[in-house]
Amino acid sequence: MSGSTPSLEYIKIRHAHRQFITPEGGIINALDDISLPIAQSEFITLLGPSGCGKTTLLKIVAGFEELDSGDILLDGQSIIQQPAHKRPVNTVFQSYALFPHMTVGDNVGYGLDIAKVNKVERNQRVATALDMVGLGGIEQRLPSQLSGGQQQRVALARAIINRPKLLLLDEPLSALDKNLRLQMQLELKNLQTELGICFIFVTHDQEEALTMSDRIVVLNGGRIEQVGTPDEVYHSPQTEFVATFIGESNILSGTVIEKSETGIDVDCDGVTIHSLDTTPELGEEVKLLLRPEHLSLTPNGQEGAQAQLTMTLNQTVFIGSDYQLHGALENGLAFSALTRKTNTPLIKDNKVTLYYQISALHTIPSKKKPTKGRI
Amino acid sequence: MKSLSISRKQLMLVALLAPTSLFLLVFFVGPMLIMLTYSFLEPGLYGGVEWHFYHWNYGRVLGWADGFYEEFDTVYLEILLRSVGLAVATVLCTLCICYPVAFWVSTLSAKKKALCIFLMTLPFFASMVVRLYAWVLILRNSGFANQFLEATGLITEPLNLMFSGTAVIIGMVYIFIPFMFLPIYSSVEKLDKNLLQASEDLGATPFTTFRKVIFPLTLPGIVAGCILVFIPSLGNFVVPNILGGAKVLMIGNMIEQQFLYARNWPFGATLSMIIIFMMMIILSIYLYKSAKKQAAL
Amino acid sequence: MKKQTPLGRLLSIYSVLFFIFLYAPVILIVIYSFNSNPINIMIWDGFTLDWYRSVFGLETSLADSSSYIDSTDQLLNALLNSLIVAGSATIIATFLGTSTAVALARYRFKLHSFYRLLLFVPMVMPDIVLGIALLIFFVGAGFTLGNSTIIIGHCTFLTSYVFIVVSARLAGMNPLTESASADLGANEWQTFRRVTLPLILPGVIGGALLSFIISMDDLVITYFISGVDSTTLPVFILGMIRRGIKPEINAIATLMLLFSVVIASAGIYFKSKNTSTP
Repeated sequence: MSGSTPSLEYIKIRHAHRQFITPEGGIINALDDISLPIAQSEFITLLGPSGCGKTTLLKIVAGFEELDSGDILLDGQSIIQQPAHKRPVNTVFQSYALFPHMTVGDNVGYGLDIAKVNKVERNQRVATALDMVGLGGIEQRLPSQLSGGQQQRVALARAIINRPKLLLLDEPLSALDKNLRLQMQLELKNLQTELGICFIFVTHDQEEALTMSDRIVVLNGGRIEQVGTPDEVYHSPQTEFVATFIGESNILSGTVIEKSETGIDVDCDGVTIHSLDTTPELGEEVKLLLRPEHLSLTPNGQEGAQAQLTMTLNQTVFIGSDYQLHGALENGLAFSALTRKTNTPLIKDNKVTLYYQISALHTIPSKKKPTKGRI
Repeated sequence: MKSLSISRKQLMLVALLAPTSLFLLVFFVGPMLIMLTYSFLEPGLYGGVEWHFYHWNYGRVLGWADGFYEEFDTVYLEILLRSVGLAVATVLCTLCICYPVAFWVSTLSAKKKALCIFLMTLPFFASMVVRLYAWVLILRNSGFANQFLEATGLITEPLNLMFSGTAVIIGMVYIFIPFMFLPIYSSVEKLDKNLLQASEDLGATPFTTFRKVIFPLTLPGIVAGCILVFIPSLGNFVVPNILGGAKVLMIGNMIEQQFLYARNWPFGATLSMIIIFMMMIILSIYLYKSAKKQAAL
Repeated sequence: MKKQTPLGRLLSIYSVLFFIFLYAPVILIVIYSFNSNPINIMIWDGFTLDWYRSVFGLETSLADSSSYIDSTDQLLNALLNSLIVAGSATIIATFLGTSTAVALARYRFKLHSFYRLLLFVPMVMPDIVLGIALLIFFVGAGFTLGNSTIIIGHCTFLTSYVFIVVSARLAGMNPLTESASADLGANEWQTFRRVTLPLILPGVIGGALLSFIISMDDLVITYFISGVDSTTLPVFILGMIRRGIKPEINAIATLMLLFSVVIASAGIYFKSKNTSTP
């Protein structure tokens, strides 16, 4: 243990490569040169669409799959030669994988029985682990007698009882209904803080990722698109994929036609947008991101410069507190906004004016190599 | 209106059930009860029966016959024991042969799986006599096995492979392999492969995983397979008849002798009842255990 | 990219050997049915169709054909008996098994578990026990042993097989279709004829096919309750094997295997055709 200062590079994934051959004979790069350092007590989420390689990466860390090349270091030691049952790593499986023929107590105590921990300590630790997940006293029940949420907690208790250095969670909440999922998200985060160990959490649900993670790793096609805090990946996506995969987004692409000290003017098919970003050069193709929630029907002009866009309404959806407006800009680009109700009549084919802070515009870096992992 | 529809329903039910009820009561339950009765009747001269209660048939096999009416002869117990032994050996052999193959088949692609299942079910359709006859061709003195061994120079004199306990076991294993394979395969196929990873993840070696997860979870298939092989093996009559000859008598052959040659029908019925009792004991234990398991869930 | 472990390789080899063990013996019969050596049928002596000719009572090049097979008539008689028995038993058992399956699947009544037991027991009863019980019964009740007693005997356990297959089909059926039929004004019988029966027909045919095969193959029960003239094919072959191995048995056995494969393939083709269309 490194003591008071937790290592920032406790786990290091180095140039991980893994290919699969499809039944048709094609080659799929499940992992394409993945490098990622992970801190000792970090809640890190691997996020991406299905087939992006997140589950493959998790299975490789757990030891159920092998790397074609590359290395994984845990506390300075390579673990890829160790079989799964020797790694100080435990997994919470997507379908829980509780042993149906064993009681809850035997399921949770399985790892301790394997390690031949004496009965007294074993029973005590089983009770503690079940208490931690809020299921004290149900040792004698069978998994089939529990609800989905309870099974989930038992799987969690079973995985943490061995005091792993690293806990892997493979979409563990996907089978739960929405309310339970929200509750478990908070509990998982609390549990991670309490245990102080690293959680690697796999999900395709961006909301889940944003809620719980210290950092999010966005994967696509076996490559890392971006690594960053939830705030970073949401507000400063580094690629168009990240911008569209996480949250609702309007992407305006165009060419820089004016450049000055204070910003640039971008021509997007006839609509000119002013941005404060001065990095793009004159004539460069840029993509600008504008989140729907940054748009409003009324100017609210205390701070910063404002701009406006005109949209022809196509559809209005009331979603409780707000309205989702879908329509098209003057240049025909499909556009959406999320606003409070105002006096403006929201009728189909009406033109509405949308206001936004110019500072809310984010420039997506154009066509450069996806960023590698960094702290 | 309501009572009319109910009576129509009842009429339909009676019409559906009556033929089968009548048929099975007359031609299945009836014969079984008559056989039970026969086993407690005294054998008459020349194949007849004397109609009074007579428990010495059972005494002859199980030991309380005192020599006055019937004589206790250990040969019957020996044959009974041999039948059980051969049946147990058949069960163990089929189990050991089928268990690994079931795992192998479960790892194959869907297409190859379907082919393997087809190959396993095909023998059900092929004539049993023909399949046993194949082993006569292989095992007899001038048969394929001896020719092969002589050609390789391993033996000079033909071995007596036929008419032995081994030949009977080989024959029964060959006949009953599908009965063992299919239930085991279905339980292996149902096994959630995530459980194996979960076990490994929690620190278990492959052997421990087998002992604590794979074996208990495939046990229902194993037990079902064992029962499906044991019951027809125990009372088997064709295999010892073809491959065992006069040397390896099983209880089935003894029953045949009582009926077709000794013409002691009550004693033959007694031997049959003993098979039924043994079968009932096994099935009751099985049903009791599985009912208890159901209740626990 | 998947690597096979040494253990996995061993398992594959073992499994392939297993399937060879399963099929080599019967393939041996097929090969030797074409062997022209009349003295030792296991020593290959050249290709011939004589044994097949002999089975069908045709001209052969054999020195003295009468010494090889007793009588083609007996064989044909046994085959005819087998077909009569299997055909009749299948029709009766299919009727009995299907009606019971429908009754148990669609009605709630007190004797439910009794009927399940009644149809379960004949299937697990060792065949020799059932055979002699029927023998005692038929002789005691004054039946003349013959094709009719064999048909009755076969029906006692074939009914259970049909019951199982049809029940499985009924269990996979949406009971609401029958409610819909009743809702549209059909009475019980009309519903059965127009909705239930067409839906369970694949199961009924499957059960019938299974019954036919099992009946054709039954040896033990038939052995005890067949009369002098009512020998079926399996009993006839058992008799031939016990009297001594003759080359014709190989030919007959091959023909029987061919017959089984054809029926089995037809059954499986039929089943796959039915499961692919909902």
